Amino acid sequence: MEDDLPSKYEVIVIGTGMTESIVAAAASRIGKRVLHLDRNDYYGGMWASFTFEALQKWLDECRNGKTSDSLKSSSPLVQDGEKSVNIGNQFSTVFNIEEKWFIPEKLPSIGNLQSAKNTQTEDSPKEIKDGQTESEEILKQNDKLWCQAKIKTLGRKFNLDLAPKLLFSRGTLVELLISSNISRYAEFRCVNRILTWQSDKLETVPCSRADVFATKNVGLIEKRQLMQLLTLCVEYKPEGDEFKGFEDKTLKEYLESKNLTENLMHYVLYAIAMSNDTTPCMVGVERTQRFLSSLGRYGNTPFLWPMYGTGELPQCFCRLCAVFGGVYHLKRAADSVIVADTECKAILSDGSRLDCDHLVLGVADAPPEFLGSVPKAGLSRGIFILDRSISISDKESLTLLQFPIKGKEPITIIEAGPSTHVCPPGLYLLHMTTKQIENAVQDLKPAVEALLHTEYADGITSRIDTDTQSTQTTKEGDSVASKGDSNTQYGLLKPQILYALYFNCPETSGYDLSQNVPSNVHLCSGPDLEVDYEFAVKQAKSIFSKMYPDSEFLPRAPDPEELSLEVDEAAGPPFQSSEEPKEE
Amino acid sequence: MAKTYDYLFKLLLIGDSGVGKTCVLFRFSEDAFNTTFISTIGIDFKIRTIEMDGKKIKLQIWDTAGQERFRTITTAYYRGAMGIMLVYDVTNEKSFDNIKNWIRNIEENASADVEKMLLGNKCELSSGRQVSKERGEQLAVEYGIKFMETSAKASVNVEEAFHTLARDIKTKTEKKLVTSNPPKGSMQSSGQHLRDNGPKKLGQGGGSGAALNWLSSRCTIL
Repeated sequence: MEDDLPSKYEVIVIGTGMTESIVAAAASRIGKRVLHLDRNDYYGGMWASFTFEALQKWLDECRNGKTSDSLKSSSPLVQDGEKSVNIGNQFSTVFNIEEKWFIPEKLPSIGNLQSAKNTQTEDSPKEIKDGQTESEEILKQNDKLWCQAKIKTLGRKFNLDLAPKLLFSRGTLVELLISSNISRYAEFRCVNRILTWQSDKLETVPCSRADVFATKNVGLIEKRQLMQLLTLCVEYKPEGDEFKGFEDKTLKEYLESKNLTENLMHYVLYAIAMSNDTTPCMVGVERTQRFLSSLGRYGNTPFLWPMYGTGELPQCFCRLCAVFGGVYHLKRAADSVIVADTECKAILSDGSRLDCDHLVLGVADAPPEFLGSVPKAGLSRGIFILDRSISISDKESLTLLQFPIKGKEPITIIEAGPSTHVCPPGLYLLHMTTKQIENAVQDLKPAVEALLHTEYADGITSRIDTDTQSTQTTKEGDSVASKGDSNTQYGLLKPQILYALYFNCPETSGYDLSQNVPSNVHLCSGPDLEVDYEFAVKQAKSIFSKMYPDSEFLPRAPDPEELSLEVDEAAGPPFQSSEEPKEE
Repeated sequence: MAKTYDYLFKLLLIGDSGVGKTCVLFRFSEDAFNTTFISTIGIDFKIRTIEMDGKKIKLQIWDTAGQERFRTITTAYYRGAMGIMLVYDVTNEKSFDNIKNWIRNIEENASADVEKMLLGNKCELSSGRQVSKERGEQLAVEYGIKFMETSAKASVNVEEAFHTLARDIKTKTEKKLVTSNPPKGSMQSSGQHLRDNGPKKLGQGGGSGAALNWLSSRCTIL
């Protein structure tokens, strides 16, 4: 285990965020010698998903701001004419951390922890359905009461995302996963519900046929109008003149010119075009096209969500990189970058010099002088553990909601339940992301107050429980029919926040990261504001094509069945490994 | 297309570098032993279908892709695994000592009811043995798992080991099928793999054709 790393690579990648991991996989795939390091003992950096315990550990590290301990100004490993530049400090980039419990540390009555531990085995629905005894009823009641100890006991069942995102079914990441054959490393769920917030209540946006049939919120004439408008957007070609005169106007102004009802306008603007009152018309049209083109491929909304949280995705690319010979070492920090003239020559790590032709660096690890004026602010994030869904339906939903804020970017809200393995049974996870204006608490306040019950829960009294999720039987298909009803009782059903975490982190997607770096150093942004992965994939592609302009970006990896034993037929070029016996 | 198997089990190989995981995998999947090809291309997983009690069981056996070297196995590797072969090298004490670390790693990342089995590989090497069979057996008893000494090179017990693990998973799976009703009102418990679904041919060059097609076919009410 203690053998040290070989000292020469074609590509060294520092940080296992999304962009870094895609680049690492792409380089390894075409036979480059890749070393992939991460100073953390987990994958993903700011794109990671954590168990509850791991999240606490991460928060501690952020709060203590772990300073880089070694500031060696001179090292025998730095040669004449070379300069050593110290690597940045990832933890200084997360700030305004606010953590709050809304439940007691322990429940007053004993035995609850026991029942918490047993929730899984109690799931067998047989007894509960038939003769429900009084004691079972109480046990079930107690299952609805939460305390901190119970959450912590179940902590391993959480996958809490630092950067929750969705994939467009026809977006670049999905196409890349399929074309590269990396899709075999991950599983996905379709987002099955898109909600919007209108007139102080939640409504389901009709975007499947079933939704359109069932919705009571859109009249027949409106439906026709909606169809016409969406067709216009889909058929739009730059040479057409439907949008003439609106090039400099907002999408909202265009929609107003169509005499849409307020209702429809709201659906199109916020939910389908994923825009707000200030979004330029053509940007809105483009987003509408993207939304519509992803419909119906895998489900009734355009979106997919990775099982076990978004932290899985960078790891899938890392796995491919490793399969093609990339060397992985977590808990291994780079201390500095060695630069000569305008080129990076090597990195120093744990007292070794590791040479490279190209260096790929996540912004969190970038030396301050490489970053220039890259902003330190950008994203406001909130993670909430809830005792029920924000809009209860008869089966578990996976939900996207763009919560509109007048004159500002909307708050993107993703709600996921236990069936996606991001939280234990009986709970829901709610993620909020928006552009930072003040701080996360202030920026997310409108949505938190509108959607969530923010009073402290004493753990003794259970709030009125109309949760039908566990008892009702459902038929295969949609859940919209009962939606109208549950909405009318909405006020009663606000989910209780059990735990809330707020933080701010940088958003660097809008900045040219190549300004202040040596020519063979490539910086990768952290998570961006958008709900999808388009930016990360685009950035990875552009970095790869800078490094290897004539090579194919992630060609399809062969299925194991296609590989024969003969060395000659191996898909990648041989991995030169005299100094590095990889395995066996 | 009809399914060509009754069960699909995802199995993992875990253990220190150099204990012979990939060789065990190749012995089982190809009935071959080769020490030279391995460093040339990483092994992702191998598939072999076996028959047991008249059922066809497709075993998808995943290799670590070298990520065990610095203990950097991705959490994604463990997802959905139903059985794990823990492999050590009988001529390498350290690899045996590390088994308990790997078990801790498994407990942290794999599902709680994953079937485990301990293999002491390279048992054909009588000289240089550092771990006796008894110690292997004892460790397995400690963790309540099964144990075998194997040799990928001499083809000893590899077949038997995978059959044993597969049988235990099969028994467990069938027991689960009998006792549990399909859960009601909840989504199925596994996700879907991405395939190239949907009316793609219509959507070539932008996907707008597909979208339109979808709109008009689904929204006939309009």
